[in-house]
Amino acid sequence: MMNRDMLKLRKDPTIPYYVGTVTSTTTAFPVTQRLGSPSSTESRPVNARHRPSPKGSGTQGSGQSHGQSQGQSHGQGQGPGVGSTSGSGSTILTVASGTSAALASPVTLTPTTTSTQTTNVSTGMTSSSTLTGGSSISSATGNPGVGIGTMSGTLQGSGTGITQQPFTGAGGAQASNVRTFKFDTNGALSALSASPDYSMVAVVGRDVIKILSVTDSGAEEMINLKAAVGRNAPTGSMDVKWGPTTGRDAKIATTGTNGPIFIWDIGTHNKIDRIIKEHPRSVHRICFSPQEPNLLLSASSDSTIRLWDLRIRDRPGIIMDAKDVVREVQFNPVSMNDIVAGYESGNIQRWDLRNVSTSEKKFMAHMGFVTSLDYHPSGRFLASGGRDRTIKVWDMEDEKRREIHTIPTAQYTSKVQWRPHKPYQLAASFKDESAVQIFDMRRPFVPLHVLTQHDKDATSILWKDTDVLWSVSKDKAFASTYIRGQTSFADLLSSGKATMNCYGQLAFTIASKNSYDSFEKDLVPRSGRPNPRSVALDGSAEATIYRTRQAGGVFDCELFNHEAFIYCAQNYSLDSDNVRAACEHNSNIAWQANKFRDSQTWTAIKLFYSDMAESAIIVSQGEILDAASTEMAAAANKQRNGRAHEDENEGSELSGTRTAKPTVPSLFAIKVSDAPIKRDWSHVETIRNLLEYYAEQGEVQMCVTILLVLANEKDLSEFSRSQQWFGSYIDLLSRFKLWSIATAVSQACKDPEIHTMNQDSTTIHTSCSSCMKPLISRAPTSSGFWACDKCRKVLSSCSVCHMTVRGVFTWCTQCSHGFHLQHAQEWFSQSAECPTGCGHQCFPEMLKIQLEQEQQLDNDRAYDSSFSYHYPRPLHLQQELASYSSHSHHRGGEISEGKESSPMQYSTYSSMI
Amino acid sequence: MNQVTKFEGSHEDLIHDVAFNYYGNRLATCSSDQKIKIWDYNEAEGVWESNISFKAHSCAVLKTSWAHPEYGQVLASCSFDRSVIVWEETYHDAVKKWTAVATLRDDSGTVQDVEFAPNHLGLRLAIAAADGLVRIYEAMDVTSLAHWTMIDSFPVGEGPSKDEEGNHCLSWCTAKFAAQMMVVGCAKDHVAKIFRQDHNSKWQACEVLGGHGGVVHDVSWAPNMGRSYHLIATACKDGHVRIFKLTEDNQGGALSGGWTRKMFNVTRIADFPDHNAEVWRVEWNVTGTILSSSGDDGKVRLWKATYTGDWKCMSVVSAEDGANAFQR
Repeated sequence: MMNRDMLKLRKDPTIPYYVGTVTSTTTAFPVTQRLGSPSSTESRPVNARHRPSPKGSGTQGSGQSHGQSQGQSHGQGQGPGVGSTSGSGSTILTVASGTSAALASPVTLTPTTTSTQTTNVSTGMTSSSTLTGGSSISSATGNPGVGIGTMSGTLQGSGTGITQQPFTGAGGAQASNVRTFKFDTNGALSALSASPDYSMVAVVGRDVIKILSVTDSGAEEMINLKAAVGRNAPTGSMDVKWGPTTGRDAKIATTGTNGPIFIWDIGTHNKIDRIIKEHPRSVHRICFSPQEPNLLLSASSDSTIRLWDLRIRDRPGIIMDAKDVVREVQFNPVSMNDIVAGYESGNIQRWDLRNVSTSEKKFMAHMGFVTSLDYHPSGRFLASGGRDRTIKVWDMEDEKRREIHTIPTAQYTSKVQWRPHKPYQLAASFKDESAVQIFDMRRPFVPLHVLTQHDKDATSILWKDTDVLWSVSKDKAFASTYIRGQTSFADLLSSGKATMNCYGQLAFTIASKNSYDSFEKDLVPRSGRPNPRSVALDGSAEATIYRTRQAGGVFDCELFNHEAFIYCAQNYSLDSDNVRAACEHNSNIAWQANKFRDSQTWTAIKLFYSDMAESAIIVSQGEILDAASTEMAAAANKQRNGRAHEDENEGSELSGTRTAKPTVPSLFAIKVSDAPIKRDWSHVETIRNLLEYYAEQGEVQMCVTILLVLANEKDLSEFSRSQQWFGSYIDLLSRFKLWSIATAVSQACKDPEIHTMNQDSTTIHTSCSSCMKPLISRAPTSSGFWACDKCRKVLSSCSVCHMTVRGVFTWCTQCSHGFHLQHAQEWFSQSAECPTGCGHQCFPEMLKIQLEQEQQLDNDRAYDSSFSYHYPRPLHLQQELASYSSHSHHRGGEISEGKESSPMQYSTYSSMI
Repeated sequence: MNQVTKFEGSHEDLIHDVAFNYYGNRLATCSSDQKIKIWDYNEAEGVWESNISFKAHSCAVLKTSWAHPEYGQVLASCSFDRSVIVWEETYHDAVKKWTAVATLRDDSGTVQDVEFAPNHLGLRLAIAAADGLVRIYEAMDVTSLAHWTMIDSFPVGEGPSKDEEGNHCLSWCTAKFAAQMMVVGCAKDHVAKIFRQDHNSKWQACEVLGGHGGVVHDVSWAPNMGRSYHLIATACKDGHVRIFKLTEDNQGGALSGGWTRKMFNVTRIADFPDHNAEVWRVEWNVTGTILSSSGDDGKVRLWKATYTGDWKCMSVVSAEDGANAFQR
């Protein structure tokens, strides 16, 4: 990352970083050799092999450190590192920004401290024998970034209530591993900033200003700045920045309540060096220039951005009048005069420090205030987080100011920061959200990682390097998260689902392993839309975006033969009065539906429950029934031989296939009435097995239809799970929208719960036929309404007596005038014309004759067919209600046309009124 | 009817759930792209058409469930954004629109599963969340879905679990004439449990479905259809699909005379490692005779019992080379 590389260059490698305090004397552990740059961390996890030979550096280190320790006997640290002055106990800290710390240990090191050290914050001190053996020890910290040796024997001395998560000490040579850990600072935190070498971090909160030393596997409190300055300590720190200067000039800046900026001198004394009190209102963000270490920017509620040169003590800041509350300000990491500010209004504006009187035009970036900004390491792109719960990325070189990426988030961000060396990725912490998320711009909806180290809102974040993210939180903890060890968020998401509907269609989505590893394989070139100028953040020619490779769709895989089901549902006879005919009918229906097995089942049932003679004949032909049944049938029939001859004629009618001698009192010549046979010779067990079989197959249609057809069989009516079968079948019918059949089934069932099923929660709304307003009356009678409250008309009045018709309402479908049935009969026996005087010939003579004939026919036909299909009552009602309302609607027009030749019809309306 | 409708390109990220409505003529898909899309079956053309897509949540939408059509066109969805939203299709000037009629948000962490209760229990919604609680909501007035009251909540396991520790999941028993029951997958406990109301109407953990080698990603209670036993399928992180058979334990019921913690004998009748990768979802068809499972191997498998009662894989649906290959 550009930013850090520059910092690195500015550091003088010869300045020894170190610090230490021992009870009486301070021992410094200078860095004499730097094997790697602090920020080159790519090789971090493989440490052990980087260990240098102890010889050369060791001798050199010994000499130098000796001198240092003598020179510093007053107990103060030297260089940019910090010594814990408040420590009453002894603390030995080695803060090495290189990979190797040459450690001189003139007095205090003992084997005891060494052993505790290895189990605590192990820094790759090679072995205890080295430590005790010589006057000069060279120790290679296994990791190239930071090496801190904390002698934990003296740890208690610092005594500031450190509650660290236990580290699993690795006593061996490969001690140093990057770990995820958490460190409690005893105060809610709001911001953090790292020292230039990332060996220390300053954390601030409302009641906390502390400096922690941080290694790959743990953190220690080094300085409690608040305690150091005592009662005058500032409160309400919302932001902190560690100045880029090092050594004696090391500074940190913090903000305080209502506008002051505190500059702390931590290079030599842990005290407030300077307080800048020029902002009349609170300061939201401060920011050091990465190139010019003494330049500090501050963004404030007083609508100004001010630039401070810390070298000149009393010089007032340069004021940039933003005319809007400034929430956020950032330096461009590449171009030192370029700064960008984010405002309360949601605007973002770029300023040039060389000419602060003018600025570039503001552009609207967010709805609601800008919460966080971060320049991409390239210096070209800018990430912004806004109150509108989005993170956007802007190409600052594009004059049109269109966002090139947008990430919608659940909460608004409190801080965003680009991930070093990963040009597409950034981390964000959120308001009211404990989890920190890491996004890749190319997959805007699914974060790469969701880090859940904190228990309360994470307030700010900072990348230590590509794989380690630091964060602070209201839960009082500083956390360092090793990203590589974290679960990929995409792994927590289901990759597919399959579901089936009642038509046997399968809807599914499927994907192979959708882990983070494969995410980058699924990138496709980004199309022109929605950003015509799609720019690749990594500088490559073509911008890419994630496209899921998940496949999915709906297709019919014939998992359920719904056509046969519907056909059967519509055509099966449920008639229990004529079992034999119903079975035969159903058998045919099943056959037509290609349900051959079901068809045979119906035939078998027909045999069980039809006349014995016929079944016996078929038994003799050996067609269907098994031997056992034959025997049973035979036995049953033998019992009745004696009284079997009574009606041979009827018996012979049964079947043309019967050729046995009719005069011989044989099995085949028997005609017995249904009742006695069924009492003695029951098929209940067989039927029960049959039903069980079908239930097992989920064929509730068969179960229910069989039960209904055999409804008169007393032994079957008590079947234990029949309720559930009925319930399921009715549910299935409803899924196919076969409501009238569902109603018929429920009506036919004798179980009271099923029978009344569709009567629950059924509401019928009535409305007035003339004004169409709902009928609401203050005093409806138990059977309905007399009149409409709105239009004050009598409802459904009889044209003869002018009273509301309650009960059967009869009306002329032509002129729509209605009557009591009795009144209509009386009237039309006398007259053919409508009693209202509308002139309509409601009941011409010729119709009278026709009607009489039809009635005669109807009587003949009634209940002739055993398969007559019974429409459920509610449907009747529905149709008639519909016809009624449509007639009344067209009342006027049809009268004037006077279609006297049209046949008169009576319609009845079982009134709810 | 034989045409294939593909979802490709309809969402910008992974689709996590597809759900048919009661009639099987509408379909809702929800995705990490925070959207829900509704598909309608065009009977004339025999294809599924997407008529609307709307941003539902501010994080990945994990699951969605249709209410019984008796209550209108109502959907519920749950998300990583810790909320459940109840959606209703409304008409304005002949334009269909899905409106968020209620947002249920407790301090619950990620809401990991949502499912409407079977219709005979009324308009109820069960929610499983990362805090280890199952909550049951009821719409008091079915004509206005804005008001939902939490009528029950009960812990399912050993307290809350982080997202990376696995999810909770639930499935109602839809049998109308059985006791109110549901099966809940208990995240980090690596089991599924059956919950039932005791005589004080308190939900109690009863039978445990064990033997899982990882987080139970999904559970599905088969429609009972009047069988003498119940079937429950589980999808597990360890790559197995398991089917449990619950037969009524007559002795236990007879002794206590009323509510009993052990109502069923649980036997594991099938345990299939075929996916050989994390299995995410299982679901039964409407008659409870075919089980579908989907896993990280990129395959959907369909399972069916043979006439001898053994469960066998009847077909595998895969998406090799971008084409849907359907093998029997």
